[in-house]
Amino acid sequence: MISFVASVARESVTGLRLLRRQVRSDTRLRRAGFYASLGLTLLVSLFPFYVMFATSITTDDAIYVNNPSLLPREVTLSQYAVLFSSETFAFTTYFVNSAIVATVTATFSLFVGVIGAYSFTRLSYPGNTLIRRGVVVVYMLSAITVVVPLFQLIARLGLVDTRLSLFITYTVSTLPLTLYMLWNYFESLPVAIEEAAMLDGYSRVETIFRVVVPLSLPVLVATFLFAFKIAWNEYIFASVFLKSQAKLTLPIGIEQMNADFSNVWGQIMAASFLTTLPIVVMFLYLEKYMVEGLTAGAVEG
Amino acid sequence: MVELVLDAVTKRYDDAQGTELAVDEVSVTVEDELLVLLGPSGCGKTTTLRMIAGLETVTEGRISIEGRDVTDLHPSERSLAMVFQDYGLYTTMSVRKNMAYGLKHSTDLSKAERDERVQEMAEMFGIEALLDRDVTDLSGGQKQRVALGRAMVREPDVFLLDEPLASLDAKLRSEMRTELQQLQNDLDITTVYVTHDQKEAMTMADRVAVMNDGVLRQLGPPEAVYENPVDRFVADFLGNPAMNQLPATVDRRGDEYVLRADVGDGRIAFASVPRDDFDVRDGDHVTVGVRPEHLRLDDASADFEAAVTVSEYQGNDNFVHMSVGERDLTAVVPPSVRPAAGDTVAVSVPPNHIHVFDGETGASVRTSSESRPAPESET
Repeated sequence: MISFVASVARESVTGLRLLRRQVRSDTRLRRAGFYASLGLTLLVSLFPFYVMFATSITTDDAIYVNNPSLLPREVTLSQYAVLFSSETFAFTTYFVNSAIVATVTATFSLFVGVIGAYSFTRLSYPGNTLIRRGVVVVYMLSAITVVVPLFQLIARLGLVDTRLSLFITYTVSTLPLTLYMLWNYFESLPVAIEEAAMLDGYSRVETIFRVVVPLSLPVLVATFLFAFKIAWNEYIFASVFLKSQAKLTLPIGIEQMNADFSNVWGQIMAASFLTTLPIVVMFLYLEKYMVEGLTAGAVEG
Repeated sequence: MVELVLDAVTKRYDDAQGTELAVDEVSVTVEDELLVLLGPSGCGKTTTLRMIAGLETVTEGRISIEGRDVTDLHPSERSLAMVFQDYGLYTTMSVRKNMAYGLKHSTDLSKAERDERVQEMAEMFGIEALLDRDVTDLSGGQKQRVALGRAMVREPDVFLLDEPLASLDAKLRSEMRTELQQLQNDLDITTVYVTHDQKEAMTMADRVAVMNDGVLRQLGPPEAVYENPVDRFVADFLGNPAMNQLPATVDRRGDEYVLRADVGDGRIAFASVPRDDFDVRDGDHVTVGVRPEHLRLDDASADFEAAVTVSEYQGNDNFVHMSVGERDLTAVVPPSVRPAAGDTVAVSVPPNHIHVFDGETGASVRTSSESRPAPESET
């Protein structure tokens, strides 16, 4: 559900770019075809999002009718009210948990990513290329293939049902992306600035944090956001590693709500909407940095 | 009085593809002068400069500044400043901060003293009005001034410049060239200047070091290097248009050697030089060279004839491109001499401007006699 937002975001960026290019082409048929495909893309990506929102403000009676309407006849906030007042469903706790996990993960991933990516692009040491390739390969692996061995490892370390297990696994799983985005950007930065800094008396570490980091703000924001988004939406690891209610993150919480109660679609949609909201808000607020960071030679998540 | 000494400095790169010798035992002493490292790209001049700066490690050899061995010191401990081709300014800071940052790091000056220094230096470079601007807002010339100011404000013992004018447009480049020369004269600071532009080298250098393939080919004042090149490479690299060079055979005729140039479809008697002048034997294969400005097209005593291919008007002189057999020659002649394309001209070669190079090694056997006694310029 939430990944729609990201795809919508992506679509709108590519859409805009296409639009700019297409304006120059002259045949009407082409334009019609272009707008038709644009409309279809928007429909597919935005419609489920709309249904989610519409359902969340519809009363229970109106949700379970035989001929559901696209527009809620009667707007209600009761679904949201239930969400926050429920004794059995700890939405606020899940939200806070997700926020903690995503923030810690993104911060840590960014920090390690900056240092790692810097070493890839600026230092020569044996194995540099090998590790770089390794990062790309790991990026290709899907989470489901490693979840069993990872669980064994986490169990061995005694970290089952701790937030630390998520901090570690999320940081590791977002690192390939973080490293990849950052090293692409660092490669585009002129080395002369850093060399000037060394002559001015900066140490290597100072050069990274005083010179490279301020120059890389856009891409740092973009990278942070992607790592945050991945951690915020992550389902598989959290569902395997976490046990107790008090530690669950939003994706698991919402899933449990569906499993534990029946006919609570209104609340599920309300919860889903609130889960999506922070990412959308962050994206809108930081969009200009994102686009700048992405066009600077990095990839999307 | 600062002495920078490079003693057999070598840079070798080892990687999977094998070993590459980027700089091969370069030795040079620079003292209160402007030394230009000149050569084509890939000749090792920039690597040499970067080793002096401490941005590259030195494989073998030592570098010392004022008798202090700096080979293994951090760049900031060497008391030097460097200006980069693409300025290397901190783009996130104002001009003032750019200039003050190094001071803050490398000296114990108080804030007021630092500000004063920055102000002084900014006035010297005519950028005091720009001090509070962001460097990203500046033009290329202004950026280069800021970069120079930032380097000089620390009062370094050694000043390094890596193609500082290469990113500027032609007019600005010649202005900055003059300015840099004045600056160096005023400050009298030990300076190493890297460029591939021979014009910059000729106009600015106290001494020029010509490098090729990592080897220091020749070191000396610009005039000496220009007039007495030690080999064909140096002869070819300095001078615009480049020196005419033709393969030739030595033919002894009485007291003279006649240099018969191979022009593809035969030989022409290119020039005659007195025998006692140089050390070759009858029948030797050599390369004969003469600078374009020494070829004459308006002399009665012509040595051979050539067909004009292109005649370029340059304002104060003309470049005349000619062909003799399959060889091309270029002459720089006064504006009054302006043959048309297709004309046949009589070319004369003054014997005292003839360079002769060994046919195999390319080393100089004879340089133009005007500037004799010859090379005191080797390292």
